[in-house]
Amino acid sequence: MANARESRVRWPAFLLVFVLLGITVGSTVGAYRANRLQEGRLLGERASEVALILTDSFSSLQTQLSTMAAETSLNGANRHSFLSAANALAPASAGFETGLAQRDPATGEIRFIVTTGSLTSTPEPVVADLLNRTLRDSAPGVTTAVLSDDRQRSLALALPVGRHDLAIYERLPLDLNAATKALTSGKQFHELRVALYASASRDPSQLLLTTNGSPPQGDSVVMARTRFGADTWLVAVQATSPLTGSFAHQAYWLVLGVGLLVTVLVGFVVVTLLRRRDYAMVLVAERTEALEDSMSELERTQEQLVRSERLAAIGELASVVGHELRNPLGVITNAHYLLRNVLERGQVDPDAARHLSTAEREVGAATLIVGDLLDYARARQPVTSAVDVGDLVTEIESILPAPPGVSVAREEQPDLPAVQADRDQLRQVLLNLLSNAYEAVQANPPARPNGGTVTIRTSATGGKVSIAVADTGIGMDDETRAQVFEPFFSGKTRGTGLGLAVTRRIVDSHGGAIRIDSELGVGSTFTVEFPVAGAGGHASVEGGGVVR
Amino acid sequence: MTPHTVLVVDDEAGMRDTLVDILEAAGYDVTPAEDGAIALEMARSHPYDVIVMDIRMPVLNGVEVLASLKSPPPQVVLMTGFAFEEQLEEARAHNAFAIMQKPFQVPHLLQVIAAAAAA
Repeated sequence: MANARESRVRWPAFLLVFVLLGITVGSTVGAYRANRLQEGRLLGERASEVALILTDSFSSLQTQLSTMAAETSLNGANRHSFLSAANALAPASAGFETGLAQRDPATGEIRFIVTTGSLTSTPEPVVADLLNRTLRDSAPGVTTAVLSDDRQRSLALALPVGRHDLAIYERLPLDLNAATKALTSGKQFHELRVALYASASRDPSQLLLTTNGSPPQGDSVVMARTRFGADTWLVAVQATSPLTGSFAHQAYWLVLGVGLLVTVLVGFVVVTLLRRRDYAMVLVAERTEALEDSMSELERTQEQLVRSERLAAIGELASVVGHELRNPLGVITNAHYLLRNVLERGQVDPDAARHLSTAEREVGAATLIVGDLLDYARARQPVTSAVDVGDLVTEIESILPAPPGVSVAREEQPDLPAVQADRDQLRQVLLNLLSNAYEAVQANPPARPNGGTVTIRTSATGGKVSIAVADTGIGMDDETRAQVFEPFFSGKTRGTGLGLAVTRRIVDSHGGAIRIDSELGVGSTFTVEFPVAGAGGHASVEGGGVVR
Repeated sequence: MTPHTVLVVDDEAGMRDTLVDILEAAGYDVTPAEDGAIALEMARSHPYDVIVMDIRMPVLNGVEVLASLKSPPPQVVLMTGFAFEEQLEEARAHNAFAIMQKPFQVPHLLQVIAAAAAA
């Protein structure tokens, strides 16, 4: 359960870290590519620049050759004019070897008319190719080639002279070391490795000069081509250190590092927060469980309480039943003993009738007690009809005549409306109140030496009929008054303590009200109110309508 | 020989009257009392041999009357339909001669009263 929740909570963290990693890698690659692009662009610019400078350093040779050609042509284009120009412009003492070559129009064969230095009249094939190329080109210009033998390398140049069958030729030795020294001392070259080829491709045989003694190799070589006379030369350039600066060149490492760091930090923070949340959730779950435990514990305790209260109520009931039923049973037992004695004597004794009526009275008392208990235990819904209160009070008085020393008075409002009530239940209410009133008066003989009074008062106001039973009895203190409606509460030594509990329940079930006015030693008044028949929300059905 | 005197105390008229009849028929000199206060007053003014008394009564209950009797006390037989254990223990502590559970068999009561009168 916990693991499932953990994995459910963790996946956003993994996703976040994954996304951050992606951004980091992407940024790193982007930074790397941008830097390489910039580096390539810079190197390209430098390559063009270097190509111009290098070509320019050979331009004097081209100028010299052009001047020689012009002078030779101007002075008749013969061996004398050539030698005169060659000796002036390219002396053999300076290492130059020169020659004037002519192509045979019939055979196409090229031969030197005149040469200086070690040149022979028949040119070697490479030189012949060079001369052919310069005579063949439609846009004539200087053609070049690098010649090498065992001893040395040299640069050969050729240029047509006026006519299409004459060309001048010049060769000078190439000193790679000297050229290299000159190149590397140049400020433009200090961070470059450069090679110059007298061809359009990187042909090693055509290498004119190079820094560091060997031409640059590898992927990072950038090439630039440039015109030299009728030819295309090539410059190969490689940077010895990043042109964008070593920091910019390595910046992608920084991007990668920072990205990874941020990823790790964010991951750590998120995982920590999620763990805290998990911990909080676990805590909440634990607390909830504890709360539920205590709730169920509380419920158990409450159930036990209810059970023990029920047991206490049963105990109370046992006490009441025990006392109230055993008394009449005791009296009945005594009466039977006495009757048996009478019968054994075989005489018709006037006491026999008295003993029998005693037993009967006690049986009646026991029956009433059982009835009280059953009434209380088995609450019945009222079946109401219109009940004439005056008739009912008269009936009660005949059932329950005033005991000695108690007088009953009636104060009735004329034309009292009927009440909507269950007649049997209303009769029980009035019987309870009247018998309580009698007992209260009887319990207070010292206050009323001439006997007490019970007054039954009836009146009607606002859709209600009030029936008040007032006595001049012992009265009640506040504590007693607060408890009189509790079941099994009794202010008397005899009684189940159910009478007023039942009374109130009946009144409540009729939508009525019950009120007590009492003063200790002066008397009590119990007032009950019942709805007038046909008034208010109560249905008035003659002969029995069910209310509530 | 003069009959033994018995004071019968019960607020319940039925019990009181039948006991008076029963004990008179058995030859005792019986006086009824309606509650504990009256009984205590009568017991102080007249030395009864035996008091037969209900526990649950208004004003003064049977155990309270028993506790208030001066020495030498008469023999007291208590009756009850239902009494709490504390009341019974207090009654025993005050040397009640017997405690009768209602309803009791009359011959048994007569035996107990005879024993109390002889004590």
